[in-house]
Amino acid sequence: MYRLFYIAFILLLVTKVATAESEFSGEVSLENRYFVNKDPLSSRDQSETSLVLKPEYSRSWDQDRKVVTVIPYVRLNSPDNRKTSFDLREASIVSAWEKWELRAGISKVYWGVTESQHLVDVINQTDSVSNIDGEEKLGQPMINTTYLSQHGNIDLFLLPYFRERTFAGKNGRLRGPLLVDTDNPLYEHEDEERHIDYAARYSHTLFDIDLGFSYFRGTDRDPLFTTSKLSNVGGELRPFYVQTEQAALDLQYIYKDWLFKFEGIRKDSHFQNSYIASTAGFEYSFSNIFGGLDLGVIAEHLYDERGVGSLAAFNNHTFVGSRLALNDELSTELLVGAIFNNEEGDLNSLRVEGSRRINENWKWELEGNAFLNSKPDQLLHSFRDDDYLQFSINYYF
Amino acid sequence: MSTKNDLGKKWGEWLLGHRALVIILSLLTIGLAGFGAKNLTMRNDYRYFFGKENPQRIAFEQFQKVYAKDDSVLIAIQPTKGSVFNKQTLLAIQDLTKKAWQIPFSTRVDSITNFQHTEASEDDLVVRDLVPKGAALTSSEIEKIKRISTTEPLLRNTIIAPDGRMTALNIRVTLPGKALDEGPQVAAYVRELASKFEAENPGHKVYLTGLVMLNTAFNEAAIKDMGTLIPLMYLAIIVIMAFLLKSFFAVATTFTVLLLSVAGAMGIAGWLGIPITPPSSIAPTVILTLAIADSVHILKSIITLMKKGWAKKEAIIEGLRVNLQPVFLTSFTTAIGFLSLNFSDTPPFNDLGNITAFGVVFAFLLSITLLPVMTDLFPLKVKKSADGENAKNSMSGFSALIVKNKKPVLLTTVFITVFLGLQVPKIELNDQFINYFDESVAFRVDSDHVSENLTGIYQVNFNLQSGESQGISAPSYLKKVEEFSLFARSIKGVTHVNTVTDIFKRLNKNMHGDDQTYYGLPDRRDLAAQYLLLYEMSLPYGLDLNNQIDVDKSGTRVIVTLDNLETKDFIAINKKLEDWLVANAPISMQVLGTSPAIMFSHITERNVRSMGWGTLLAFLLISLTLVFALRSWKYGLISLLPNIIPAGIAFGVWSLTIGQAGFAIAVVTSVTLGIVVDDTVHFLSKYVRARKEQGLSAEDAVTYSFETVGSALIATSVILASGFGILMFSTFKMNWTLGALSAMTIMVALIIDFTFLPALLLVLDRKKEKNTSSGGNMNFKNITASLVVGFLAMGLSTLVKAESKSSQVRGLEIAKSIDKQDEGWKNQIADVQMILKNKQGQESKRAMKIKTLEVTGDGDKSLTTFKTPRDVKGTSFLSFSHTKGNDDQWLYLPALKRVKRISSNNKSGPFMGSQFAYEDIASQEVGKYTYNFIKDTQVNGLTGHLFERYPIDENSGYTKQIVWVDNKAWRVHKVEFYDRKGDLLKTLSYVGYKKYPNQKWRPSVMQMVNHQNGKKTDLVWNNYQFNTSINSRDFDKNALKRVK
Repeated sequence: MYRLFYIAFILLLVTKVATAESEFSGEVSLENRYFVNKDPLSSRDQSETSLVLKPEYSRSWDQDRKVVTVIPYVRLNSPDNRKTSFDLREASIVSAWEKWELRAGISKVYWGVTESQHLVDVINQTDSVSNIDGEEKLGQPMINTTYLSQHGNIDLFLLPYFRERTFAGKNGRLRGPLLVDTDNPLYEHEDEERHIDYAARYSHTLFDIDLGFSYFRGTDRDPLFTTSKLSNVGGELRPFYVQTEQAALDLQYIYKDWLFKFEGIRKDSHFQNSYIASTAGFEYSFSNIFGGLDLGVIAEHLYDERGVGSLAAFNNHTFVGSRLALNDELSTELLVGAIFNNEEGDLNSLRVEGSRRINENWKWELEGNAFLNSKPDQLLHSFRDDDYLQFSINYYF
Repeated sequence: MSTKNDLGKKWGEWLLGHRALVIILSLLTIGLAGFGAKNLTMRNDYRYFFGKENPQRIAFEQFQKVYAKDDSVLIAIQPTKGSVFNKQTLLAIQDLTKKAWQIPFSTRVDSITNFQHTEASEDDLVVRDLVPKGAALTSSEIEKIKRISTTEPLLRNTIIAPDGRMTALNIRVTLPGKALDEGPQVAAYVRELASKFEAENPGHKVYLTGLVMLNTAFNEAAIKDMGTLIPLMYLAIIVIMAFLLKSFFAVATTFTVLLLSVAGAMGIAGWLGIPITPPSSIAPTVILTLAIADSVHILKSIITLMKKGWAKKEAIIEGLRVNLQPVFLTSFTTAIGFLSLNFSDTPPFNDLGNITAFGVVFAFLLSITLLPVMTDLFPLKVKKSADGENAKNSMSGFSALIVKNKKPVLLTTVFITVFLGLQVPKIELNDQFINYFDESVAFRVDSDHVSENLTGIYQVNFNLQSGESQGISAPSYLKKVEEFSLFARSIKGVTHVNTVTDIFKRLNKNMHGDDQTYYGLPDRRDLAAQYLLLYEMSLPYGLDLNNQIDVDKSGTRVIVTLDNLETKDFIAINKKLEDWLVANAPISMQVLGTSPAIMFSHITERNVRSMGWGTLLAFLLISLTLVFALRSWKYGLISLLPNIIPAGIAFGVWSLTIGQAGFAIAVVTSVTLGIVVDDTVHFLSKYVRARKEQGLSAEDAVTYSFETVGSALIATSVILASGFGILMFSTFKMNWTLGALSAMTIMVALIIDFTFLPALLLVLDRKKEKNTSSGGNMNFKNITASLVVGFLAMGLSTLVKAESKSSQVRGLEIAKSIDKQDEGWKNQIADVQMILKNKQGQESKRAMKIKTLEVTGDGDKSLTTFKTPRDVKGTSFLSFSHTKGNDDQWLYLPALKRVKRISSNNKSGPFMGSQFAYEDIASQEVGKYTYNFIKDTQVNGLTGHLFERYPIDENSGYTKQIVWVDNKAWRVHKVEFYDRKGDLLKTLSYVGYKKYPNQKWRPSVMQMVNHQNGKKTDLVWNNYQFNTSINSRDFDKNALKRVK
């Protein structure tokens, strides 16, 4: 069955279509991460270097109603071999008709409205080795149909293959004291990664309100962990992927310069009590101040019913962030985000991102992450010595 | 009876017991006061119209310190036939120029004959009179003089008319300011010179203008007014009183009181050193008008009582008793009204207010002292008769009419008041000081003639400083001055620009052997300095450049002369020039224009503002007085309305008929307020007495008031209106305005007090008689009806003055035409290149694809996808603009595949770092602006229009946009954007319009220039496709994710 699909896909790529526009573009970036502290776990380097290649080929015709996209993704990392990876981020075809849209192949789908975490966004697995911000995702094989109507859009997803989460390896930083044994994952379902997942989503825009209801049934993208029995030294963690059901709601209301946002999920599985989690907050934009700057101020409350000591990184936390865009020719931007623990009142994490274009093709980015004041029963505790500064230079073609 | 009435009685009795003492004391007081009249002086300086703190006056005086504190006399000469370029005329002018130096206090004389012409002779610079002494003046020489003078920018349109039909001598006079007759002395000398010239040179007419002549005209207008208005006023008084009092001695008594009041007031003015100016010269007339009312009220009462058979003495005492309080009240309120003129920014009005207030006080005092005593002394024959009955009958008939029709009366008044009140702001303020005088004044006629044939009299000076000593020789400085002068010359309405750069250009040419190609500014500083030195050394005494260049040669003044423009146009041109300097010149040159004309052009506005407070204070004081006098808050409050309404109606009528007004309008309200309040006081006090003391119903009390004071009110109003009406014979426009408006206000007040006030009393003052529930219901109905009528009037009032309204309608029509012409393109796709240029000329580029969908009935939809810079490739921006309300906007971030909704309040922010704001690239829906048509104009060689549009959305970054559009294809060619401060921010030009197969025009390039930061952005449009297969499905959030 998959073979048939591949053949059809290749045919689409090469078939000559009148008025089709083909484009080849992409991005090469060199990232250097410098960790402020020596690694307490071993004598690993204080720096990590990655080379990322992300070419993109796309072909569209029929006024962009038919689009084929292929995006391979290569990351070469030193010294962590685990972080060296290859992925097909995109290899899909989309076709749109008046009422319908069909997407098939490997692709990415984004759901949700909040900034600090993305609870509702479940279709794609997180690529946690590329960045810990949870925004980098792995390509997901899917067949997705969309029905569009005046009363909202309905999306149906068939997800025939599961992608495991990526984890840092022995030589990598930003991991816990125990290594994750990604070669031997456990699955609840016997079909393992071949289990077919389903998802559906209804979304609508009503005046100044955007809302979405979504439902997912299948292999949970977030693994549980069991201690590995195979390893005898120190032990490793084996990811355990359970079957889960997730119902979610996302809401956004725009009023003048205000965006009010809410995301909430309820997750259910055999191995965990069902729980709810949510993110709620607002974003306020100061537009065109001081001769053209845009300043966005974001505040969100992060909640997880599972509470302290669970796999939830944030259970009762507040995120405060700000985005400053200079709106200049070089698109200079600065992002600052901080997460506070509401119970202790401590600042847990601080993140700064800055970027600026150099010219048509070049751009640099700077990123800093600090993990502060964590307690042993908190998930972020394992990153406590991994404060880092990352500089990357990107070439776009 | 109250103690006050007893006081009146006791006073009357005491008076008649001490007649000799009263007469002696009165005459002594007045004599003492009146003796001060010997100190009265005329003030003959236009500066006196401006307070010491007036900012325009301060600015001008500072300016005069830098250059010269001089005023001008312009002697314009026009041959009745042909041009001035003939031997006889030129010689005559040469002679007159020589004689003009003899004018007292003259410091400089400029004419065509003594113009310092320069030319090259071998390597030397020859500087000499254009018409040298003893010149043979052959026809070829005359031809040369003609050619030089009519092309020389320093002479053309100021000293000589381009057609040579008129020439002028400009004499600068510096008055030492020691004696008051300096100005008149100059004027007299100049006039004699002029009449001698006309006698010696038949076939030549001389016209005199300039600021010295303006001062003289003020002076003469005041004298003339005193000479004509006061006798006229006396005549009117005699006629009116003869008619009213029908007794020689009564008239004579009143006359005495009036004369003494005026004498006393003017005497006090003399003691206090208050000078006579045209506005204060009408004080005697006003005092006469006001004083007569007191006398008439008292005498009329006495006569009426005597007719009823009272004995003379008793009648006098009773007349005093009845009138003491009302006469005191009316005098008091009138004095308050006039004293509030002290708030005016124009000292002559302060003087008018104070002199009149003195007069009013004297009139009151004399009316209750000298008047009764004299009446007692002189015989007063009165026929006992019932002739009062006729008036009484007609009054009660009128009263019945009002009682019957109270609601129609009320509603009509509401309607008229609202309707006319809303016309008031439409009055246009105009202070062309030439037009302060009517055509009987020689200054007005001569000035008009000179501005038609030679040059304007309104000037603005700009003191352009280089910021360094000797800096005027710097080429960059001279270049800026030259640019400014050229800009000024390009403005319509500017007749002449006097600039030192014209001298430099000429000298540069001379120093290069008169080679015309060198007619330009010297490009080296040392050269410029040298030329200047050489030139100045060659100039004869008195004709140096000190009037144009300051002492340490750090700056020059540019004098811009304008046509005889209306004040608002004059201010607009001055603003344009000031704006140019701010936008284009270094900080040391960013000065404000200054001149007497500038001072006058702000005088009304300043007076309206300062008098606003004065009027409010007077109104409050007068209202409080009424509350105390009537001893009732309720009646006090009711009295407010008939006191305000008359001024509103009179101003409204003025707005609809005359439409324009000068600064006198600012003082009319407070002057009339103190007067019109009298009618209300008389009517209400009688009404209140009837209600409280006699227990009459509202209807009967109204009738009682009409019967007791109706005819007296008519009489006094007629007297007052005629008195102020007489001011319309003044040659001074301000007095004319003051008189006409006051007379109108007084008559309107009478009508209001006879119709609206009783109707209001009947409606409001009946609660006690009816049961409260139906009373409340009635009130509700009345209020509703008033509101409905009020709104109706508001609606109708907006229809009036179609011209100002129609400019909005025309603007809207043009916007609709643009929109309509462009309808029907359905959708379009284009590749757009955005080129960003910074101040240094460095470029960066962006490429994008823009799809646009026409939506009928709402704003367009657009989808912009970026191609470069490559890091934002695929980033897309979806926008639904709406004709009303906020737009919807979404941003697509391809890295996250996230569609993010964004606030449309960012519309004023830059789009992708360019000089285009989001709102500039959004579709320009008609409903997003209000419009104002400016004028028909030429646009890129086509006929078209210029209009303004004002964004409705408060988040817009603009207060105003000025749009140039042609009316052939309704293409927008240029838009100027004004920022929130009202300054010019950006200019957008549409270049290279092409017509596409669907018959629609599209520009090839849209060029945006930001004037404030010097950056530019071009949008270059390519590969337009129209009416493709795309539809709204290609403009939704899903489509946003697909586009690459």
